[in-house]
Amino acid sequence: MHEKEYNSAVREWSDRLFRFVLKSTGNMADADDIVQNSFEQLWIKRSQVEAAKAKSFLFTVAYNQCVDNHRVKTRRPHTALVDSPASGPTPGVKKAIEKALGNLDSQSRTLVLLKDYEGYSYEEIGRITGLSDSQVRVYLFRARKQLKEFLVCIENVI
Amino acid sequence: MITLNNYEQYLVLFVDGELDEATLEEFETFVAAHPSVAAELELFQMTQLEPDQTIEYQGKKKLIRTETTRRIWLPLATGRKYLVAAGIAATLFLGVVVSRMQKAPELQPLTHRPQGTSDSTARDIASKSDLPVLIDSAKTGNTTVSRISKAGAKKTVMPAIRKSLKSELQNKPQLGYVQVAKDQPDSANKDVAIRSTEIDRADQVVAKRTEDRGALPAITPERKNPIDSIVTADTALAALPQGNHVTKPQQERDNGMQDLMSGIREKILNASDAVAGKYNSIKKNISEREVKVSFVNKKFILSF
Repeated sequence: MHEKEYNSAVREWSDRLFRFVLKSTGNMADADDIVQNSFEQLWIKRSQVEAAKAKSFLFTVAYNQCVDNHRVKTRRPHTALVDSPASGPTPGVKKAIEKALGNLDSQSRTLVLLKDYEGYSYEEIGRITGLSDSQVRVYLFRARKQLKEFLVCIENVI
Repeated sequence: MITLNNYEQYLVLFVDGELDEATLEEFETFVAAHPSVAAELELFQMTQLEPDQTIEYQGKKKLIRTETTRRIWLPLATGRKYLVAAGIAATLFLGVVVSRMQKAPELQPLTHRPQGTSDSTARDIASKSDLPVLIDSAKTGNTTVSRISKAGAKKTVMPAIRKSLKSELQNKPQLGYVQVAKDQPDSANKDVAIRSTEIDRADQVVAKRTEDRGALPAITPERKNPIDSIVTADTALAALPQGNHVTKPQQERDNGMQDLMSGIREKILNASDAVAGKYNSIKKNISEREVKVSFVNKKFILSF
């Protein structure tokens, strides 16, 4: 990967990476730091990373940093919906889902984001997160079920 | 097989798009047969998140990189130092190369010290001769020019010698420079025969070099010793190993040196009556019985 390909990756993936990290960490400053660090790693290792795998590399680095960030700030409540600049008025269901996402554990939340935001398959999610396919399946099943149950409660939707 | 006990995981797999074709058909059939499952499927589909496209990363410009080549600018003074050093080195190198190319190895040194020859050997040979002769040498490039000068006797003797023989030796060469051609036959171990042609040639070369150099300090009135003039190139030439300078046995070298000294003495004695007479006077005036003699790069002692 050379300079042009790196800069192309910045233009193509920085927004999506930032959204993923922001939703995962729930903090704008942390998301900014993680995105910068991810691209810094990509730049440093650009000679070892193919351009086609730049996105996977970025999300892998970002995921690991999100995990580390969660470990450091494990007691801090997830405030993604509060910090999000796009946290304006949203439809009821969508707002409830965003809220439900904040209640998920960090691992499950990240997997849901990777699945829904980026459309990764279970296999790809497993490569990024280092989990097995069955682990990814279990985590996502639990997360989906938890989100569904949150929607079922009328008070959460209204 | 999809049942009411495990259908939920198939619902999640369907939402996530992880069902294969065969399972997908079975799942659609199962959902069609169970309306409650279809309603629950809608709830699972609602759990899917949609990325907020309004969120954009504001720090893109900070992430844009440009590969820059590092350039090290040396201070001008330091650069000049290197340039000057490189210039000096190049000049010296070229000078050495050119000087070596100009010095063609046409002539071989007059004297080539045979291996195994020691000062003690020369001293033994010199002891067999009663002639005080001092021979100096000056090496110029690949050619050694030997100058035969006065003996190392007391300095008080030399002015008398010069004065008495001055008139007789005016027409003779003041200094004897000998230059030996490279391809001369090896005859040093046989006798001390004087080869006039080679001597003439050597004298010519010496004269030419003397003219070229012009400032040989050795050619001074004080050093115009008559004996120097008498025992000039021929004797020195005869004494030296010639040809390819193959190392001779020690005895052969000793014989050659002994013949040399005899030849020198005979040459002086036969030069003229005046010289012979002065030689006797020299011998009488020499108070020391041993005279240090320097022959080319070698020193030995002549005893009277």
